[in-house]
Amino acid sequence: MSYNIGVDVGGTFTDVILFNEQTGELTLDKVLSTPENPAHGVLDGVESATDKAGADLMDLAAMFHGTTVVTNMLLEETGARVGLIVSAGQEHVLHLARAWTPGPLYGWMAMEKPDPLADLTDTRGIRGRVSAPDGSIVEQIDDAEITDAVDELVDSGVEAVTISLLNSYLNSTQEEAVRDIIADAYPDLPVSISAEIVPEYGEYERTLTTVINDYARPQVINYLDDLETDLEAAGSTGRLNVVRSDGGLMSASAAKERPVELALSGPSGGVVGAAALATEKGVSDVLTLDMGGTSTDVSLVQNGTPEATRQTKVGYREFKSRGIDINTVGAGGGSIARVQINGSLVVGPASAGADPGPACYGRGGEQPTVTDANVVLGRIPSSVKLGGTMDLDRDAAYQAIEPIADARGTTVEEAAQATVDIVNENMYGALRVVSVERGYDPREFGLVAFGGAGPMHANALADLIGAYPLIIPPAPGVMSAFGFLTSDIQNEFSETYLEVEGDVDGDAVGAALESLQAAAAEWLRSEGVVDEDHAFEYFADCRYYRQDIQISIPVTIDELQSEDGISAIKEAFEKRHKQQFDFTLDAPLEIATLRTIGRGTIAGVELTPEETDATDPEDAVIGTETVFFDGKGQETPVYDRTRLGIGTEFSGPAIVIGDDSTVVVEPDHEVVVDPYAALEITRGETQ
Amino acid sequence: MSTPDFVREHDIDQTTLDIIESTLANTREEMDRVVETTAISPVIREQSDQFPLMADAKGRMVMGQFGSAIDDILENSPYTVDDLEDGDVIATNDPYMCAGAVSHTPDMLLLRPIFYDDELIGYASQWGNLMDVGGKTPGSIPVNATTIFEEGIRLPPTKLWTAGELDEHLLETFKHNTRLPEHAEADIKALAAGTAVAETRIKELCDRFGKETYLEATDAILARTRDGVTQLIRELLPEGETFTFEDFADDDGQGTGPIKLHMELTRKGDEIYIDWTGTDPQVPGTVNFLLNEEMFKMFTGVFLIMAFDPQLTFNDGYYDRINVTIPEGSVLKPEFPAALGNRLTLMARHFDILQAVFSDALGDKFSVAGSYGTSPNLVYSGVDEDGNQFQLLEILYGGIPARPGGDGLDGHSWWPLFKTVPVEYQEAYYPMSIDEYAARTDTGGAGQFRGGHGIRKVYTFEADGAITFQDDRAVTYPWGVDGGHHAEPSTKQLIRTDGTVEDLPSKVENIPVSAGDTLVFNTAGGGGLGDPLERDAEFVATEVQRGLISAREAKEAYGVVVGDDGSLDTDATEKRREEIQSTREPSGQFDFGPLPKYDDLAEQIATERAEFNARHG
Repeated sequence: MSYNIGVDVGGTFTDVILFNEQTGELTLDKVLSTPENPAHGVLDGVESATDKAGADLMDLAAMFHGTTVVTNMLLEETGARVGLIVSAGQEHVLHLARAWTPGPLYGWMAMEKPDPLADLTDTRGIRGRVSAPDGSIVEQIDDAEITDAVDELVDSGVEAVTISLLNSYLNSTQEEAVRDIIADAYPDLPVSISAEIVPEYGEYERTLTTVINDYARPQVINYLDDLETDLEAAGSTGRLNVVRSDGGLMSASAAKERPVELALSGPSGGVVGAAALATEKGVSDVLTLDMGGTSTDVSLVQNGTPEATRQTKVGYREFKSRGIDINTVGAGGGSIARVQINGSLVVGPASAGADPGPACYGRGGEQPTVTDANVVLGRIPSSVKLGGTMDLDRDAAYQAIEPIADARGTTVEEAAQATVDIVNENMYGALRVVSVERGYDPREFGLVAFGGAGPMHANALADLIGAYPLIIPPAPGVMSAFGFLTSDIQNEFSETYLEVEGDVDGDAVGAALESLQAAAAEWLRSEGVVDEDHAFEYFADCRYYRQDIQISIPVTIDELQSEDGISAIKEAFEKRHKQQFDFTLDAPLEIATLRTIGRGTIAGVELTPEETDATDPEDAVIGTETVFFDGKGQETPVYDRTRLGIGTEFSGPAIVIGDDSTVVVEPDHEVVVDPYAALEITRGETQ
Repeated sequence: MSTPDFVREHDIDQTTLDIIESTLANTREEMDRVVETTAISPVIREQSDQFPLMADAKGRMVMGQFGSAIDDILENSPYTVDDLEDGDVIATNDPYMCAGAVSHTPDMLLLRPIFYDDELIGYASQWGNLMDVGGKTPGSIPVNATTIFEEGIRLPPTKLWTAGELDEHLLETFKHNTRLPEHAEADIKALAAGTAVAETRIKELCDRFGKETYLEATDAILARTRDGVTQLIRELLPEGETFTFEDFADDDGQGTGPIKLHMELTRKGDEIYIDWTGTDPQVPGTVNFLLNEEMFKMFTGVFLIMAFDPQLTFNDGYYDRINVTIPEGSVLKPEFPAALGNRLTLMARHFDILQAVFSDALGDKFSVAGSYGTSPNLVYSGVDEDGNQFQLLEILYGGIPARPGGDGLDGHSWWPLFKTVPVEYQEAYYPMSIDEYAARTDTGGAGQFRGGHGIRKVYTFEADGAITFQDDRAVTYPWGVDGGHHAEPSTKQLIRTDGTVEDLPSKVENIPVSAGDTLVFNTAGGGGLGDPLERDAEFVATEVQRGLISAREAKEAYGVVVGDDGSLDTDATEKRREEIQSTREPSGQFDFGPLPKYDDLAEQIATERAEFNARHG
């Protein structure tokens, strides 16, 4: 037997999903995370799941691992001490942080700005200068100065060093020379150069991104070393793949070089999994909604591919790393509702978190949360046990919502409904940002909802935004781990181009992309992907000359080298600009950046449709509940999801209880259990 | 002022109201994003120098960030409300035609009426700073002008789009009068796209909830904000007492200065009365600030909101609660055709004064110090080695005032959402190199909370050309408060290739520069807050190690003694702090720095300018 395993380490639980390559069977498991040494929790999960499936660790072909190690390090500021070497005169690049203050007027009065991740005391300016835009060297570096600076930094205790020199995106030889000098003296010291991490203009973002890489490196190296050792000791010889922020995979050794690419490793899995499932179902354009305890992640998938972004944000810091374009809003099951001074109701971003959690958890929480509102409205039936064991404290939920009702002069049910409506509205706003604002009509998309709380709110959201069908995957609570299994080995190779149409032709652009392709192919080979499994995509990020946007235009080398050449890019760019902004300009096209994405396909999981085995839905009804829809209590059947066979159909209103989440089906909606055991919800004929 | 019509019972479901309010708030952000991503001018897209609003059918701002002057704009246009139709966009950049809603000619304002079922239901408006609108200097913000006629082409309120049709001739005529016509067109279209987004979103709200519900909601949103601000006024400001503050801008760039602003604030019942009587008359130069009264009401309310309840929407709802007197013919209400280009110095100073008066009136509840005090800017223009015209406009930043609960930020923007243009962008697109960009050690006022440092930016020009810049706080000081010290002023030096060094005043126009010349542009810091002896000594030592304050400043101002390696000497520090404590004079509420007597300063300013003029003919 041969298995692949997906492992998603969360704050509380580690989700594991095991795929049997011969039988196609999936085994789900969940173990407690071990934040003090995350590798242990991973091993526990792997052992537990293989055990459950009757497999052996020796049978693991590959492991697909998403981790929040880097995310947490950035949020909690627990990374390494980084030394920073910059061009003289630029020592304050991170401290000044582009001078940005938040809006509105007087936003500076309340602004909280964390210290730079590389302290000013650990920052050194050195001689040496690359001129722009020609990239020539106008001042040489001084070896002795560099040696002294690095000795001082190492003596004072830095654990990694970032080199980020001005204009290195045009010429990286000085950064490389500095790296060589350091490597001679300190061969084991992790060192990153900015031209390799972000070969693009913008000294602040490039420096920040590279510093984050080094900030994370020592711990990531330790963590992955531990994990590899533990897995080997337990008898596994499978390949360890780590999930990147863009949903692709890389080997553990590549991850140790570029941990910045793991900043949003976890949330990307759900989107990739949702895209894979929806595409398999023949719905390749979907919005995704991942609602957890404190926040909701939404994104847009077109033609089966999640939209990507070059801007990744974790907490205060926004840096340049390729990621899935996930829009996060502070709306989750634990989001707290409160009435403001002017009477308006606000829900989130403050959250009751996991501890004490919502009032209904009965662990001392008193603040009114979204989950409490759902309990008051009957949307979480009494039969649901928290974590499978704990009873819900319905009275506590009621008492928590009561002050909202008092402040607004409504019934408690109305206050609970308002809380749910407002949190839905916040998620609706987030979904609009990724769709309507970018020129997409959400009515042409489906919606895939997952995460612990997503399926409870998704139907109302699908109505708001008009995205159907609504798809609830078979195991919405472990969607990320499932998604990891659907990922490919992937990396992006880019270069700043900054050429204006007329100055270059299609052949030149094509040649530049081909050289990026060569680099991508070499990387894929180093990742162990044979040439037959290589696939490449090419992009030209364009704008009108001196504009600040970069619209990524997919191109092919054949097209570039044909007669159309660059004009095809311009046409596609203008079409996209018009779609998004509703105007075009009589201005030259500038190609700002060229990118090649190299992909090595590996089959972590295969989805196979199952035969219809429709059952009488009545057989799955385990009770009824009074649930509030449109302000009225309605007797609503409660279904046990595990008893619904493939092809079974029923109508809303309904509550469907699964292993790891509760689905609310609004009145006048139709449900069918699809061949992949997902629930497909559509609007009824009366709508 | 009579009670506004929106103050009444509102027949609207509360949750619907919350949803409409939050959708409008999101739309306001979306308007910004659209303009910033599509505009070409760095001042709009990198520095976010643009502001949106959405108003109701009576022209009252429901959501947004500048004073609604829609009545004034229509009054100064050839149109009445009945002449407006779907798809119209009115454009103007004449401050005198919109009661100062935009306050200098480079700011282009677009106003789009919004119709639903053929009924006018509101307006969307947005303005942004164009790179150039003609006039005597590149960038259209001259120093040596005395009338607005020298500050470029002025478009009176005119339909640039009529029923969706762009008036190509009008746009062409306008563009033709600017030095950067393509920029002007792109930026105007970007602003129009911003207002179009608001129109779409508002129509969607009408589709979703019904037009009547939407209109009821806009009234209710105005009323809600009015209630919130009324409550803040009642709770925070003592009744009956008058609070006064006076501060100076340096000069008008032509030898007149210092320029006094004087403000008094009194609360009577639920209303605030603010009087600017005592402020200096308008000046010959371009620093006059045509202050829109509605906008000033917004600023006042926003201060209270941001200090005490930042989630509250700000809008025109509370305007009847604030009464403003601005004397005619003063620097805050200059008479046409006074020059207005560089109005940001007085705008910044009037914000400083508002902060000071509130620090005084709010007692222990809130104090904040004075800022770097303008929006320093630099224009460098010329012809590069390939024969192409270039024109760089950059906005610089300085020390943020120390604030309750925190230090002022070093080298940050006082103005919301502005960002530094990357050095690498400047070096790639303009013939210049940036040799240094750093916080200026010791320039923020000492205090329990330290004022932010000014910045030091060193430019070496690589092509012959000319520079124009405008800064302030070179001869007056950003003040400290509650025992905090004043900050250090701004300075400018031009270093020629032959090594000669010239100190320049804070405002100069079209100074020729040659390839190889270097400009050192130093901006002012922000004032400190609270007694520096109360500042954590360990943290003072850390700041010495970081190079943000010198060992000398640590000892003199903070009473903190550090060793050669910057480590804290606890015993010596204790002694030093006791010594300062026992010998110093008691401080007043504000520290204005070593300001000369008014007449002496006036003479110094006039003399410096005369000498400068003599050097530069």
